[in-house]
Amino acid sequence: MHHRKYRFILGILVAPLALYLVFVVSPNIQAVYYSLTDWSGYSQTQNFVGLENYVRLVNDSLFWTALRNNGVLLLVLPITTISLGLLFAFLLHLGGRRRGAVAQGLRGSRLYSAVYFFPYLLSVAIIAVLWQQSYNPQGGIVPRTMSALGIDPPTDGLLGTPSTALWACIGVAVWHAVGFYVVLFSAGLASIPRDIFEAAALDGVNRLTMFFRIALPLLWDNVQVAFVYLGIIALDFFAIINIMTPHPEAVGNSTEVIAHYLFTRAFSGDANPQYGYASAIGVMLFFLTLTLAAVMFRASRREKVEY
Amino acid sequence: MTTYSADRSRRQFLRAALATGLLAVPGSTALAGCAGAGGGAQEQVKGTESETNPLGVDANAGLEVVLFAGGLKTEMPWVQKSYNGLYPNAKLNVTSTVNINSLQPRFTGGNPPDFVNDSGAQKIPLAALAGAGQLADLAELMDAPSLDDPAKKVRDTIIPDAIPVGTYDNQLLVLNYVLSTYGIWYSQSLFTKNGWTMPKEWSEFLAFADEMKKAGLSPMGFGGTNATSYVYEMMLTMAGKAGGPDVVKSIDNLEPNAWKQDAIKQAASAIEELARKQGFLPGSPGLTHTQAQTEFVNGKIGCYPSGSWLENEMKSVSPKGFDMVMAPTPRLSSSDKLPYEAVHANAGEPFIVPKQAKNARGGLEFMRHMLSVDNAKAYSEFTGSLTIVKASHDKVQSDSTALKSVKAALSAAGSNTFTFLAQDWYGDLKKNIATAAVADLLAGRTNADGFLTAAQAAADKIAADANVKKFKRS
Repeated sequence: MHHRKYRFILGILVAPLALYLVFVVSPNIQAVYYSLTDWSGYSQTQNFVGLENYVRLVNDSLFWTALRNNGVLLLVLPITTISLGLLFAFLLHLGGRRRGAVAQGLRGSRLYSAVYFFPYLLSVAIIAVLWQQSYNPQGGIVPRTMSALGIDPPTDGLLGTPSTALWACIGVAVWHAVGFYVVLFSAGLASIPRDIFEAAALDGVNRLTMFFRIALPLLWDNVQVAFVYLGIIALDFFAIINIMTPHPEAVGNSTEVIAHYLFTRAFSGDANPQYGYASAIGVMLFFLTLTLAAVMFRASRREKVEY
Repeated sequence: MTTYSADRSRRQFLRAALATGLLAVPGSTALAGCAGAGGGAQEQVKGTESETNPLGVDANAGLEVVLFAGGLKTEMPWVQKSYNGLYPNAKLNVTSTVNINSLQPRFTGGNPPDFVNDSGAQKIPLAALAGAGQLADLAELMDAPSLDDPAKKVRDTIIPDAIPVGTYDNQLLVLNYVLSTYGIWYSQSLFTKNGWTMPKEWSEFLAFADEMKKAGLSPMGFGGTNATSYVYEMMLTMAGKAGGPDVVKSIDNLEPNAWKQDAIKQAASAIEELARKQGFLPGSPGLTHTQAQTEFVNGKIGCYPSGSWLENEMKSVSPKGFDMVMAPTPRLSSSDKLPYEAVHANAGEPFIVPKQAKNARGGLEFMRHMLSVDNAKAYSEFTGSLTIVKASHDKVQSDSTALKSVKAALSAAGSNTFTFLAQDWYGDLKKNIATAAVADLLAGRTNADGFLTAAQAAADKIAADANVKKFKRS
């Protein structure tokens, strides 16, 4: 009996496992190997150079600039997105008028969640092009709105000024991602038994306390997952940068990120391609991402609440 | 300098690779889609040489041609017809793609196509292919009799400027087919309406800039997020005219203190002055080249530095009667070494024959057919761009004001054309000088002296970098 069960499970797993080995594991191992060579990417042979690429990398100031920018993203992107996502989700659920003991969701909350979610349905490439138009210093909607609010938009444009370019890109990423987390947290809130909120309301707990002392702890699992996902987005962040500021060096490298720098070294049609060196950057990024995921899960481990 | 188009996206490639890694592994997965293991060399076909078949093409062998499906997209049916006219049994397999880099595994695997138009944002870097010994030497083609006149070698039918651009380590490996001419573009109808003529000297241009401003136009503009290299082009052209072609040659050869030459300093100061006097459309650093060019055709920018593809590129948004024309870049002063008429002309749009291709001789023959006068003329009429085939220029029939002005500029320039190549040879030169340093200069984050220092430091760094293959020109 047991035999048959294992054969069945094995049968199901073999195909995906093979795909995983061929398309994920083996390329990763190959990348590690290439990172130890001087391969340009277009020759049939490559020379083994040991750790030379990594030594170069450590001495490459642009790599550190990119790393710093990824660091900024890592600090700002998850916290902003999750805060906004939590806020919106909470408002959708408990932000409305009180009816009976406990507050209801805002009127039309379903419509709002659809609206929030909408950007997430579009591809990042489309979003980035749309925002490129919105940021256009010649009459784009963002600089116009800023002027109307009495804030002087930078003359060189938000994407053309070193001090604002990265923030403009972060804004796009938050706008894109927040809807997904609103929906995620809404689902989390919906699964919390309503009587918990009712009991709290009867005890006279205000909404702020309800959010921080009840909703947030009970949503912690979701928040933790969100941190890891957004952390990975922050460590990649390739697509938005490559469309909105394809030449980060034009804004003093203020928008250069590791994934884009890797791409410049490996693929950029007019650069001297150095796949070996780019692979070394990729391997570094791999370990950074892995470390991040491990640290996040470790740091945010808490006891699970059973309802 | 091929087209300075925006490098949009190899992101499809990267993202596809990312998707397979899903969670943890962005960078390293991305690289791995392209394994480097090589196969053995394949057998190459050869026919018997004859008067009509000087390259010894196997008349029955199929020919695989991969073309670039970009701005100048055409599968060149006229060339196919011409090839099949001589070799009716040869089966042609012509395809087009925007992602030429997808051929990378076929190069490393030893089974590349017979003929490739290596162009676009996703082109395979030519210097890399040349450095890896992947390209067939075109000398044999150059010495073969031309299709039109057996008494004339192919070499003597093309403009001489096409040779240095495609030469790597003294071997001609790349045929750059399209002749790009650079200068300052403007609307003839707008200029006529205002009674303006394009000034020939920089001091006059600065005065003219004030006049344009009075009329509500920005004198110039650029796309700062992806195309500061257009301003770089203008700067080096001015420097080349002031000090002669040797000035830009020494930059190409990464000579010590090449960026400290007086002509470069004058040109950088000229750009700095124009920028300081608000000569560029406000917000230019935050625009893409397409957005900037849209402002140009909408009449907000008076003059726009660019190359001969501009009219074609902006065709769909240019108002009727805009009448785009090109004038040579103004000279810095009357003591310039070259006359005002001198222009920066460069052969672009690279075509290659992979060395390991099965029917490499067929690939060379396909090139020989492209270089016939009639086929070059057909290409120009289809794409609106002149080719390197000299005799075809006068035959091209076109109503395009741009093409007419380019033809006039080229014939006025005569032998006073020059080009510069370092920004195509060295990725870091384009990155750190043509983009970073020029952007800093234009945005006022540095002055001309600071620009020269930064540029020299960047050039010295490339010269000292053992990981970058160097090229020389004379």
